[in-house]
Amino acid sequence: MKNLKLKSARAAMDLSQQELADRVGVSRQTINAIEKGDYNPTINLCIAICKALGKTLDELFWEA
Amino acid sequence: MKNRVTVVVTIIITMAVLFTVGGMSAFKNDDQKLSFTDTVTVSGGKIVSEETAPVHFDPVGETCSFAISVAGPDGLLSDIRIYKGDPLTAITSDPIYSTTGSNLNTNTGDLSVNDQNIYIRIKSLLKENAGIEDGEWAVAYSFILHTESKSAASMILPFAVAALLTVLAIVLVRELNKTSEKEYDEMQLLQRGKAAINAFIITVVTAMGFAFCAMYTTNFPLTVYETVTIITVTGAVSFGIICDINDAFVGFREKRIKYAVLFWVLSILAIFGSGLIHVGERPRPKYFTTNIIIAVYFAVFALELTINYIVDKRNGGKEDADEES
Repeated sequence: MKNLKLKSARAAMDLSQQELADRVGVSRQTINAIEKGDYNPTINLCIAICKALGKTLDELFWEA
Repeated sequence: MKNRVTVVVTIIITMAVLFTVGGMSAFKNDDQKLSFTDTVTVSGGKIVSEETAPVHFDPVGETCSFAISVAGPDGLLSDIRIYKGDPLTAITSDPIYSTTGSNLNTNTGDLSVNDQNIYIRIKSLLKENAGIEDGEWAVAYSFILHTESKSAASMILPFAVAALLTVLAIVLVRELNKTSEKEYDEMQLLQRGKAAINAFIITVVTAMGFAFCAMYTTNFPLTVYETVTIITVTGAVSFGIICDINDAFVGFREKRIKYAVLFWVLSILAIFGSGLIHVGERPRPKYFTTNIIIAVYFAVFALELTINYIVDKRNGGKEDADEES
């Protein structure tokens, strides 16, 4: 399932996939795979992404 | 820490293997030894078994010599003739050496061969008035080919091994002096692991396939060296392709097109190495099949890298366009 919350949070901060990837220390392909729902990140990477985007885990990764 | 230990152990094992190979190649002479036993059937005072197939050698240099040893019953003579040249015409021309006897133990002395193929014909004859009984008689043959020259591969290999050992020594020193562990991208580590498992399965299946073919095929066309080379390249190329398809870079990141060009060049070199451009020549050049298979593997890898480079560039462009709008 696509992670549109992550994509919109990234867009809201005017960050490209590459810029977000650089901030959390992964490749652009990894961010792309998470947004497309192709890859399920570890909790460490989720926390790093949340910190980079100023969001909580619930806001970005919780599916109601 | 564990990672560093495994990397260091891997480098040390690789260096030990390379050192052994280089040393063996540097100090070993290029003598070739062939031993086999032929069964000669005698019935009604005559030999009924057919002549054995010609034995082939591929000497290097201008001259060579053979140490010939034959062990069998005294009543049987072995007529041994050595020919040089093309396989289709060599054994119809005059032999460059011939000898006849039982329980031979002789040396041919220097034979002028000029890098040509050598074929040895062996025919069993009955010694007159020897009174050999009817039955099957075993005759053991041993041929040791000695050449003064060393093959190009034997001369180049120690230098290539020395170069690789130097590179590995540098990598080892750098690994031991590393102060911090690099953080790797978790998705790529996962993809590399999956790729390694898939490549391992492909390698095992290929090895089993070759083993099956060798077991059930008479005159299996590949040597052990060629078979191992093909299996190894199959595993390495599979790993590279699977990694690249799944965005695990393994060193190809940002340099895909350079690697694509490199593998296209390697593929072309392998085709030249195979001697395909001299396709009409008989016999086929050495390692023809292996070089062709490697050329195809490299071409497939280069094609995959090229396609992925184009697709990635398009996707990157699309994403930028989305973000701009």
